Amino acid sequence: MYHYNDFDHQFVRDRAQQFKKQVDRRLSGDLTEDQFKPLRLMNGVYLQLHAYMLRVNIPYGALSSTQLRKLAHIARTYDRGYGHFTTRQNIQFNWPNLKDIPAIINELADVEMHAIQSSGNCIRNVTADHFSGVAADEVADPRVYAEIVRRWSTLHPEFTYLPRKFKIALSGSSVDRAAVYFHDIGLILQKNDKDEIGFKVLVGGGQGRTPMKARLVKDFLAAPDLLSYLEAVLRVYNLIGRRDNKYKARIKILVHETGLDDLKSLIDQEWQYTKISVGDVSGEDIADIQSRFKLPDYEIVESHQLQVTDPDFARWLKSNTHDHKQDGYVIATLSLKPTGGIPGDLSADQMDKVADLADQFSLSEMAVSHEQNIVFPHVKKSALFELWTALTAIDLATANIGRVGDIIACPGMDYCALATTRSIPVARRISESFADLDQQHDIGQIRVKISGCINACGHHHVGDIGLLGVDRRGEEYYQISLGGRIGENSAIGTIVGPAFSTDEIVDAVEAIIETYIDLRLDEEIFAVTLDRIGYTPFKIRLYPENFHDAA
Amino acid sequence: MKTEKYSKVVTANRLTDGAVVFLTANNNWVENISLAKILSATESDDVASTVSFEVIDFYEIDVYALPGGRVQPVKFREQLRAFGPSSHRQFKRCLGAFDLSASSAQVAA
Repeated sequence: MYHYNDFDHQFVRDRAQQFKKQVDRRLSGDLTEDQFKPLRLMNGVYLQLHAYMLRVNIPYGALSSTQLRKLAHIARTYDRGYGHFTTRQNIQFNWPNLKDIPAIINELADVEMHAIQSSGNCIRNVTADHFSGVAADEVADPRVYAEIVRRWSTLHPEFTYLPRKFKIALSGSSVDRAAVYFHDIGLILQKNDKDEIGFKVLVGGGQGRTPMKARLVKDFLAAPDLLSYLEAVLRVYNLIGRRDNKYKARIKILVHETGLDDLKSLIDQEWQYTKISVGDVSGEDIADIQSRFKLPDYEIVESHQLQVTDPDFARWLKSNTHDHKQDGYVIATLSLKPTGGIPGDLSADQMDKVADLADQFSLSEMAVSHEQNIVFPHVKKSALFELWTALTAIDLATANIGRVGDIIACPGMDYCALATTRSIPVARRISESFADLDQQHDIGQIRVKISGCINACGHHHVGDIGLLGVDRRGEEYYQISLGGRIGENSAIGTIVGPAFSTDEIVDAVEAIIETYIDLRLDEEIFAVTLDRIGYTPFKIRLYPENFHDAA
Repeated sequence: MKTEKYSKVVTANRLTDGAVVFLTANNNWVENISLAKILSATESDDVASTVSFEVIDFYEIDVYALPGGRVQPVKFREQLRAFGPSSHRQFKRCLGAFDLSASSAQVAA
């Protein structure tokens, strides 16, 4: 893993000290809320419905057991005994007292974490594939370049007051697990014919009220050019991105209104300057950071043939483990979606136990995913049964990764000040209605995603089944879209018809899945069946009253 | 739009911890909405003069004043603020508050 250098350590300590003084001045009345709000937001402190919320970055999802133990300590000491992992590789504490937050930030600094730029119109936490470094299908480890981007973007003086927030995601594989097509900038690592590493650069993706798939602006950007090119993109956006209307201020709107070719020309013009002012990322810097992400010394293990007799274990292996680049090892995913549970929540006690298990089974390293789960990247095949048994005891071995119970949900109106409906209770009810894991495995791969408002933090636009909560005269309704997906064939889901009430929505999701089961061929997954049969069979099932003439 | 048919209370978030609080007749801020000062629909309470820096963003909300001294916000969002998140029942506020795990339609009825 990457570790802070002396400068980094001093910097986060200084920031904690500075914020403490700001909090003291607020509590004594020397600062008004209007004066204080921008200061607290720069340190990740929001005011939500019931309390303050502190959002802590987990850069590119990489988390050590030491860090997780510290998060457990913070949850227990300063909050209400749990944390909530978000869809952006962050963790949120929902109940801190304002006076305690400087102390929390100091505690975070102990383990090389912070909350800077987890809010505000700046470059937010850089995200990456949660299988980074170990995926059998990756070209190279994207965390190396994510770390280069993190360093460059942290407190970049020119990009502290952008027109709107800005999100960058990286994938080391053509299999997109980081939703790179739905970020302001998406970077996909590739190699050219000289075996040099570079990036496919995508700009202008995003969800929210105007979902757009990112557009390709560069087929191959050589790795040394990474920062000069990003600087050029950000400078153009900062200069001509709209500031008159916050709903039109993201770079996706600039791409749309300016036109891709014109925008590419503007970026290229600017790049001529930034190539000089920013310069190349040196080979030495890349090598230095690469050395910090060096893979551990894996044991050379004899080919291990798993003896699987327990059907529950077999099911977990099927959905919750993935191929590793090292023979004899696998990637294991801990599901933070127990049946009927709250997606992404982890208690302090569970955090401590997961940290211990990471020490025992995953060389003390983890990754948190944008799908609100925790990944153990380095698990010996021979230890899988023991790991599964231990995870089962703490309710983190639900065999549902990529299945209908692995629901992404934003906090919704239970916590969020922006939300118009709740998300979590709907996720829990859907999860309960598919409690039978055999049934979930029979249904196969499907992504259900729920957002409590149009800001789309629950990624409903890219769910096979996406649910968007809408307020109708004070009552919660949920609009269904089908066919959203991430990856090269990214698509924004299509709304199938009028929204369903909260009492109807679970039945509607069941009806969609029953329709798929009835009409799928062989091993077809949901997305393939939908592509083949179209939306009409689902609409007939959901809105039979509109189709009675056709019967 | 100003609604004339409901009673009102004044609410805010407390500065120190962000907790949802309500203004009482004695100009104190308390967590229990049932202890809030009920304003008639047309009564305009001059809360600005009573508000110190101890709270953030105070505003009036529509409420039903129920028998037995219970007070229930009209809007679902304000019900969640007054009674706590429905997702974590262990953090429920105000004993006797109705069950928010039910649908919003049921609550508003």
